[in-house]
Amino acid sequence: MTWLGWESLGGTLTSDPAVASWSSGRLDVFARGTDNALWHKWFQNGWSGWESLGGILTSGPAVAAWSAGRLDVFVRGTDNALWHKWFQNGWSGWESLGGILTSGPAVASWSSGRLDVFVRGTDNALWHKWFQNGWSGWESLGGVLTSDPAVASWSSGRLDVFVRGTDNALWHKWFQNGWSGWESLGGVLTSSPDVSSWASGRLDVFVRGTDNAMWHKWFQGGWSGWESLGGVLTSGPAAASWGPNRIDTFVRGTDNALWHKWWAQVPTVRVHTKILTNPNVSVATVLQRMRDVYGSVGVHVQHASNETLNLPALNDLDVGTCTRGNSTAEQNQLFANRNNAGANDVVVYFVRSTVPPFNGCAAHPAGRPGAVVAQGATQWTFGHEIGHVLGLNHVNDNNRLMTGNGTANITNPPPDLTGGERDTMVASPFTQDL
Amino acid sequence: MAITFEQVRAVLIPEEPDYAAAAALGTEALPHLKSMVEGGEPMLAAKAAYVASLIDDEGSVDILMAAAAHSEPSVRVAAAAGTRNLAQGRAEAVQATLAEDEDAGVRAKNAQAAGRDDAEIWASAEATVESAEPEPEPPSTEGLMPGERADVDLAEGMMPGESAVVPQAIAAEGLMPGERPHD
Repeated sequence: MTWLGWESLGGTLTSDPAVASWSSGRLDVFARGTDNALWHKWFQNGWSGWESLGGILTSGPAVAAWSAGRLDVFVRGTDNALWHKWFQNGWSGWESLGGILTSGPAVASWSSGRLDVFVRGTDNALWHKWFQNGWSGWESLGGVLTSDPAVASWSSGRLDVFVRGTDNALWHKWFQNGWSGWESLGGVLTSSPDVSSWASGRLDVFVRGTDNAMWHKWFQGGWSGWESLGGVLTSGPAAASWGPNRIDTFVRGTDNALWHKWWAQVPTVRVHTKILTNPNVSVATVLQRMRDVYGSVGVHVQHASNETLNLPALNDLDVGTCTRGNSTAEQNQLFANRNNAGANDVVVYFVRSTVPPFNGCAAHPAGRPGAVVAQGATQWTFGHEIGHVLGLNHVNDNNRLMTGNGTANITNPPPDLTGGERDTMVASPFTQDL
Repeated sequence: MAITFEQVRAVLIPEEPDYAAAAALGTEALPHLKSMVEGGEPMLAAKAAYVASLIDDEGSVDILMAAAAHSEPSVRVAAAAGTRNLAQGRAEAVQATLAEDEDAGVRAKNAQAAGRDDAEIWASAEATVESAEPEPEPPSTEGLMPGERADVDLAEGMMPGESAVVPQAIAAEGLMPGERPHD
């Protein structure tokens, strides 16, 4: 699992965004525009443009999807009441649901036909209203809130509500056969939180920290610590999940545009580097070049570790004929130094030279996937040799990474990988779904 | 038709040159190999020296001697390893030179090529591996937002400014800060 992005989706936002997903591969994002109207953008096989849905909002929106093709959007109106608009075979008009709100709303749906809306009241407490065969009245759930609430439901009959307290920490209250008390989850928040769930028993909470970056905390059998996801946010985050192991987050950037970062399983090559001699082109540079090329076909490169090895007798490594499936005694000895690398992780050893002289050599002992790269190798040799480890062969094309004519001859950098080569790489056991 | 420098270079510039094909260029390639050894590309010089050894001609010795005098140890390693490919009479002069090399790795490869054990060399040699501080990996600029610095300090499990001590007394009653219990 890897975080991808940030990606700009344009627009000029004047509120926190909100997002819901009604099915795998579908996202619906809402925000207030500079005209204070509700604006909508969606993803389904690509991003739509922005669509205005009218209204005059005095808060950011909230949205839930109780089934495919159904969206329920909530906002605060100029009268500070809760207003509602929904999509089902077309957009409804606006419906007032009353109340006096001192925050934006939050909404979740635990089943088709069920909506649970949360707001802050004039007493700064959390208030709750729900829809099931008709709208309930307002119920106070206490607390002293300093933010909009956030809510998610991981199963029928379960609600998890998050708010910022007067101590700027994250606070949590949940419903399962009755309401819990408040639980502090720490942190120093400079925004409202948002929360999504991709499985029963899983919660992912996102907030802005004092450094204006997005921070993440999750629950799965217990609460994690805080993880920074970077960015420079000028809003609170919005989060939704369209299925297991997928989270999409949205924020406003310093340019007031909508920005997107997402968590997904991607084919990943985990690379460990071991230095006997520092290469002329730095490890950082060759890693970046590899990321440039591999990233162009959607393969992620993770630099798992770096280690200096003091093995002078292997620094000019005998690689023999350097053919796949064959390795010399010196290669066997060097490649034994994996030091906790996973069985399918690739280990690259930077040596002074090979005998005979090669830029690099991807021949490796069985069960020890890896390659050697010589000090004088080019900026592309590292990715080229790992390409061999992943099953790629030479080609006669100097625009491609796997050129057999020498990567020093690459004429149109960055060099290419083809779709067929991507298929080979992804099918390799040394490309892992992480 | 005479072999050109570019033809020889084209055979040697790949990551993993086909040394059999390179050796098959024959003695006509030797002047170009000499130029490569004397040129400014150490990787190419090392490959050229090794090919010269595979060609194993009288002219090869001159090239390997030039490689043996190269300032880059990796080129001298290639010369040392290449002496294994030379006829014994040709190898001796090169090996005699490299036996005195300042670099233990060069001497070790030279000893191996001469059929001698290199263990003694390593036993007496200081570790020669450069222990330079590894260069820190520059932050990727991929996926950054406007104004974002890549060198974010990832404080493990805590947010900026957060105190490690959670006020448990407040949390204990299931109330939020400032909240009064309901009567």
